[in-house]
Amino acid sequence: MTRFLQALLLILLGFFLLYPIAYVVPSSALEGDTWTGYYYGLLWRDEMIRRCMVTSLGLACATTVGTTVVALPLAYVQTRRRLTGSSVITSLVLVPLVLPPFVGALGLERFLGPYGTLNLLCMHVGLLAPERPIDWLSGAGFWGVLFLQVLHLYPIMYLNVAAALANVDPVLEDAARNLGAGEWRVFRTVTLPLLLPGYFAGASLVFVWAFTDLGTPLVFNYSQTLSVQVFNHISDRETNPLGYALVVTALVITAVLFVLGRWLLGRRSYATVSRGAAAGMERRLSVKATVAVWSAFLLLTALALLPHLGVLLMASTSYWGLTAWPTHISGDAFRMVFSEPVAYRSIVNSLTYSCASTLLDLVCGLAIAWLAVRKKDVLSRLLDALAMIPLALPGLVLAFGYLTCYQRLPLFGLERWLDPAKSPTLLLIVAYAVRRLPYMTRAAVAGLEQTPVVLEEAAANLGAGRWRIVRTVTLPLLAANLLAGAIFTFAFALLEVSDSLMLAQQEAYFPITRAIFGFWLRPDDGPYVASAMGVLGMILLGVSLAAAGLILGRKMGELFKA
Amino acid sequence: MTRIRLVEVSKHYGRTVAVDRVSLTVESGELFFLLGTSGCGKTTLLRMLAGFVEPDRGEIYFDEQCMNGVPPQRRDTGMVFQSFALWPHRTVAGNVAYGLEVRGLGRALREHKLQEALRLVRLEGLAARRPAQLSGGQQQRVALARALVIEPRVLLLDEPLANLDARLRDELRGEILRIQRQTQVTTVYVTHDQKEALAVADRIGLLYGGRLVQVGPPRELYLRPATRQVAQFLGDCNLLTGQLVEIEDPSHGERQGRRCAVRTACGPVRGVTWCDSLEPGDSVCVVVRPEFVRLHESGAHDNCFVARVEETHFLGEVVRIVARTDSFLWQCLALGCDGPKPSSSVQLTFAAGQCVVLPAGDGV
Repeated sequence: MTRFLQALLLILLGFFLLYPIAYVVPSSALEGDTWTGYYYGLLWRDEMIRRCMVTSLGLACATTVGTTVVALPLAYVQTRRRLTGSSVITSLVLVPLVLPPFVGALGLERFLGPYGTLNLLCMHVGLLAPERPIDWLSGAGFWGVLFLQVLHLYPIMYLNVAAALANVDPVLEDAARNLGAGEWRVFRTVTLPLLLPGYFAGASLVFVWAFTDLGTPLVFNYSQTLSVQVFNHISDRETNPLGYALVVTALVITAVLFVLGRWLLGRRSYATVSRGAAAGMERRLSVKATVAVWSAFLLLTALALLPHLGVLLMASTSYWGLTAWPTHISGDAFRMVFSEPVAYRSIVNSLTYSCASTLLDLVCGLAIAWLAVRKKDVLSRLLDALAMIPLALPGLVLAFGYLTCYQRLPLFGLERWLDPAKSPTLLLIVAYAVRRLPYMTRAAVAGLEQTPVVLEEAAANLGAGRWRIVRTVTLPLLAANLLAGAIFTFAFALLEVSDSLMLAQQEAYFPITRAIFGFWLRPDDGPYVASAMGVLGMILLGVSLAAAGLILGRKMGELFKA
Repeated sequence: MTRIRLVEVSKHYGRTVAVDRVSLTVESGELFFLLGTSGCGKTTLLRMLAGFVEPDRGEIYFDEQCMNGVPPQRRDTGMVFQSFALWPHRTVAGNVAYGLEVRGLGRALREHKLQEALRLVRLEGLAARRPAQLSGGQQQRVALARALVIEPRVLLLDEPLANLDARLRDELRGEILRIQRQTQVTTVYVTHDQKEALAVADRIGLLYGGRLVQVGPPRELYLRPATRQVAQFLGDCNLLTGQLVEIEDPSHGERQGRRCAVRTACGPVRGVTWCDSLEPGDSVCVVVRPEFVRLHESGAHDNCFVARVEETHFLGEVVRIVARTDSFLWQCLALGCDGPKPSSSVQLTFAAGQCVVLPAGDGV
């Protein structure tokens, strides 16, 4: 039974995770039947591509630094000081996650575009000449993308750092204070070294996300990123290996940085959860400090919610002309969502894809976690490691592989289902599932590790068979973790961007995000319908995340561990 | 050498009183034990001395210096935590030398003091190991060395042996005593293990419900408990309730206490009391330790009861005997391997001087 399960999972992961990656590598260096490094040379010589690489790397580094600057102090104050209203902060901090940055970009344009709210207000008070508006976004595409990515991704960094801080026994810090170390020294010599593995998990996630984010640069019409270049090469992928070479370059850069980062930061992980009573030093923030923390947090949240507000305002009107705010309220955009076949069908499609991928993740994640925690043999550990690869794997690498990798295989009639040009349904479901498999697996692993094996042994001792033990002991004890993991998987699949943009090519199969992008490009009412769909997505994602937060509580950060 | 003085120190957590108006002096160089059940406030009191918890009321002095508001970094106390709190990312040397680095000592001096501290706790040769590579006993020694190497004004030990097995506990208890005597550092040791406290303390302060119930040398607390709680916490005892009939010779003197007679359900009992407020007619309880109850001793006795043996338990060096008079189950200890047979009749005797009469209330 165990061997069968391991074999099945290995085949699945091999076919849908390793094979597409293995496919793009030779495709980038094969011309006919001969190996060539020509396209890599071409990439290197092409100044535009070089600039794109540097920009993407810079963007990813800056986003990582930006999210650190925002999240680290916030997490430190939250876990190490008694702060009035800290539970409110804990729940508000997740709010930016409910909107993919590219949908946020739609909203932000209304505020910061040439005739956006900011410029119009400036013109109104005479700070700006009407004939010379500033385009805050396309004039500074890099900064616009960076701004949105930091505001979107800092919650992920926060969850990781807060979880890591919660795992550092406060008594270890007290011991340093007791020996005379000041607060900065305590942080530098005790907290930080113990925090690094958790920080690395968050940083690598943010880095990979920012490095290969496709939607945000596309909406900002900022083509100088690697991801946009890859996207532009989709159409000539059959004839021009340059796209593959770009994908492989992205893969190599992330892999190298991931390994390097892990070696530098994440190699030593210490279990430091306290053995005795760990009261930690009681430190309530002074009124002045509390006001400062809250002001900074509210400013941050307000900034983070600016894109959401823009999308909401756009969705709730049918025309927003040259005014700072929409002049009338209308539900037309929402009505259009349900009357336009493309929009309506995309919602149904997204729900179908997300539910199916969640189910797939639930089964695979639980199986891998069970093998990794209870069996612990070489194959099980290999499976666990394989399941974590997508954390460091840019989504566009997998999507690019899926576009062509299965078409030359003898698939005994399954070709139709594995060709995105004919039907991307299965591939989208699998792509969503593979990308979120790490979250599901980690959720199940965390649950299993907290469930002593002796509870299962007690059932076995009383005569229960394997399936009965799983059904009556393991699953009920894991329910909360699995449910939270499933909600996460569902929520992120629902608003996934890069797989959706690359794999869904016909309207009939569009998921929500692809439809939003399509509507955004449509003149007249397009942006309003796109915004209304964004609002619906926000509501769905918001409710899902709140549910996951309620179920998982403070353990939410465990899901994002690399 | 620092003298610690606490004046009316209190700490509340919401409505819970953790420490209630504790006043106490720990003399310089003394090994002082704070003893009590879990939740009695002893760790809170220790954390107040370290500066991790600020008292709501009252003052803490190290010599004449008031420590209220002084952050833990500037108290110059060395603390051994219950969980040891060794930093897993630092080696033994890194852990022990940390306080010296903070104090900016030069490399040579640091190395010298480190070696000295490791020698003191007998851990020479393990400096390069990480905490995870050490046994529980070795980890405890590292924690002790880390606290001592800075030559603190006060050494604070928070149940330092609680995470160790019984044999290791005995061994390390002796080590701690040796090191404390050698360094002469004023030490406050928190524990719930009364045997640990009785064995090595210079003085013990017994906490109950956040209040300091009695302070004194181990022998005094054991033989002259001030309340029923102290008597029961420090060891097994026969506890009878009754009414004080008379107090003999009120001027008998403080040292031997005042002899008195008590009417109990078992009959009249003669004992001693150190409580000045007791008067004839008061409700009292009578405490007799099992080891003071003798079997079958001839001659005249202050107290003598005939009882029937119900159970005997062989405990190794002694036999515990449970014997019943009309309405009371007596516990007594007999040396050697042979005790009386169950159902046999025995004569129980004990001297009045070993029978302590206390007020019936909890005295708190």
